[in-house]
Amino acid sequence: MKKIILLAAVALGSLLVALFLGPGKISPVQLGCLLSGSGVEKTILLQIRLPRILAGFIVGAGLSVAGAALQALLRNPLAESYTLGLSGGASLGICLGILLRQTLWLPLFSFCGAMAAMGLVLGLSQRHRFSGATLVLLGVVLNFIFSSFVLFLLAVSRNERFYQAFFWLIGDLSWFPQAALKLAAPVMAGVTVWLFFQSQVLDALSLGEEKAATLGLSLGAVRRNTVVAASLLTGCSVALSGVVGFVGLIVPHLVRIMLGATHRKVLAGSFLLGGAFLVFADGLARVLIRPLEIPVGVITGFFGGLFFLSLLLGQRGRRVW
Amino acid sequence: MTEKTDFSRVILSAEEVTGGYGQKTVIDRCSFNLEEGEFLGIIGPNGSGKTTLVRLLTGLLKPFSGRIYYRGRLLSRIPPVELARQVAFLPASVETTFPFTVKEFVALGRLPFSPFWRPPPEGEAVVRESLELVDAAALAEVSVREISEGERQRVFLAQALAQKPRLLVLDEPTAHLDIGHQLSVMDLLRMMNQRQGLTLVCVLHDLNLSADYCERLMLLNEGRIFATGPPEEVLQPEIIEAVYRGRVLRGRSPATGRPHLFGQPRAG
Repeated sequence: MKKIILLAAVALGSLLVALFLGPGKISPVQLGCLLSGSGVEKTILLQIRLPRILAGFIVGAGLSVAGAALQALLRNPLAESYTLGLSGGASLGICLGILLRQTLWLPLFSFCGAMAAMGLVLGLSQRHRFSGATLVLLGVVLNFIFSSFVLFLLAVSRNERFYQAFFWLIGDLSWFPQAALKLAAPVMAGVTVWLFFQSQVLDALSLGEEKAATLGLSLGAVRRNTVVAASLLTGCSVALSGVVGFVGLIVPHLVRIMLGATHRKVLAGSFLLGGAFLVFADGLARVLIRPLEIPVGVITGFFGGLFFLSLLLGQRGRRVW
Repeated sequence: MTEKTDFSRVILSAEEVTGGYGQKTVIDRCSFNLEEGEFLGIIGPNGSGKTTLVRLLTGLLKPFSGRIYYRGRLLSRIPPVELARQVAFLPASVETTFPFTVKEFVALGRLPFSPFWRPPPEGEAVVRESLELVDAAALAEVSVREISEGERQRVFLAQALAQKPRLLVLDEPTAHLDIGHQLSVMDLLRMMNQRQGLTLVCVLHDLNLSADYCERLMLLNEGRIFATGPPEEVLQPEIIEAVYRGRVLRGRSPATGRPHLFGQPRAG
C-alpha cells in the first residue's frame, strides 16, 4: 500500500515537473504570477502544455494497462500493443480517418484498426500455435505491413499533413487533435476502472485456459472483453500520440518487480507509473536538444529497445518467458 | 467385475459419452458411475484418451453425444462458477508466467467463492490450511517461479484444495516428479480421501503407483473402457498385455501387498 502511494506521488510529481519543461522556460516562482495574469505564457501553459501533459499521461497509462491485460490474456510477458502489432493497426486506422477527414472520430478509427490487428494476431497464433517470442515476431511483421500501408496512403494522397503524419509512425505528442483528447480521456478512464474490477479474472487467465475455466470463468466472454478493452486503450493512445513503442512492456514488468504480480497491483501500478513514465519521457523530448523537440517515440524506442535487449540477454539466468 | 452401485451415493455418472476434438472421436461411448468418497485411477496407454476423458468429466470439453451427470444434474447445465465450487481440476500443466507469491497463487483457488471486485474473503484461513496440508507454509512469500518442480506441484495441489472441492480430478499429478515427491503427493491425496472423504479421479501413468493408492482402476484402450475394478482384477498380465502390447510379469509390492507389474525385456 505504501508503495502504491509512493507511485501516486511520483505520478503527480511528474505532472507538475512537466509543466515547467519546454522550449520557453518557466520557473516555479513565475507560475503563480502567470496563472493570475493573462499573458502569452498563460495561454501557452493552459492551452498547449497542460493538454499535452494530460495526453502524455493518458497515452502512457493506457498503453501500460493494455500491456498488462494483454500479457495476462496471452500469458506472455513480451506482449503489448506495440509488439503485437495493435499499434500498427491503429495507426493505419487513423490514416484512413485523416484521409476521410474525420478528425473528431479518429479514436474510433484507431480502435477499429487495433481490433483488426488483434483479430489477425489471435487468429493466426491460434491456428499456427504461436507462443512466446514467435508471437512477438508475428506482431513485428504485422507492424511492418501496417506501416507500409500507412506510408503508401500518405505518399499517394499527398496530404498537407504528410510530415506530421510521418511522426505518427514514431510516436509524437507535439501535435494532436484536441477533440480526440475529449473522447479518449473518458474512454480510457472507464476501461481502466473496468479492467481493475476484472483483476482477479486476469489473475486466473494467467494460469492457463484449463485452470481458468475450472475456476469458474466463462472463457469466451472473458477473452472477448479483454481484447476489446486492450484495443480501446490502444486505439485511444495511438489517436493521441501515434505509435509509442515498448511502454506497455517496460512498465508492467517494473511494476511486477516493485509491487508483485497480482493484477490488482499490476494494473494500479501500471496506470500510475505508465502515465508518469510517458510524461517524463515527453518532458525529456522537449528539453533534450532545446529549442528543437524530438518525438517522444524516439526516447521510448531507445530505452524500450535497451530494456527488451536486457530481457533477452538476461534470459539465461531467469527465464523471462 | 461389476459391483452393486449405490445410486444415492453417485457423484458423477457418464452415459454413453462420446467426445473428441473437431472431427476426431477420442472417447467412444464410455459409461460409468463414480461414487462419493471413491479414489478412482484412470490408466491406459499413450493416446488412449485419458486426458480427453477428464476434460469431458470436468466440463472443459463438450461431449459429441451421451450425457454426464454431476450429482444428478446435467453437467452442461451447471453454471461454471457453481461447478467450480464443488469440482476442482489439476491439469497436466498449470502456467506460472508471472511471479505470484505461493500464497497469492493458492488464494486464486478461492476465486469461485469471491465476488469479482474483491480479493477472496474468508480465504485467508483456507489458504493457510491448504498450504499447511501440502507442507508448503514456509514457501508462502516465495515466487512460484523460484521453487522446485516438486514444490510447484504441491503448490498447484494446494490451489485446487483451496477450492474446497467435493470432487478433485487430477491429470498425471506425479509426472516429472522424483519418487520422494511422487509419494508425498499420493500420500496427501489418500489422506484427503480417507479423512475428509474427498472423491478423487486421478489419471496415472505409473501402473504400480495406481495399484498402491487407488481403490478402483479404469483401464482405457483406444477411447473405450477396457476394464474396470479393483487393482487386483484389472492389473492382470493378460489384460495389460492385450492393451499395452508388451510382456509383463505380476508380483506383489513388499510395501503395500498390492499387485505390481514388471516389464519383461525381450531375450537377446
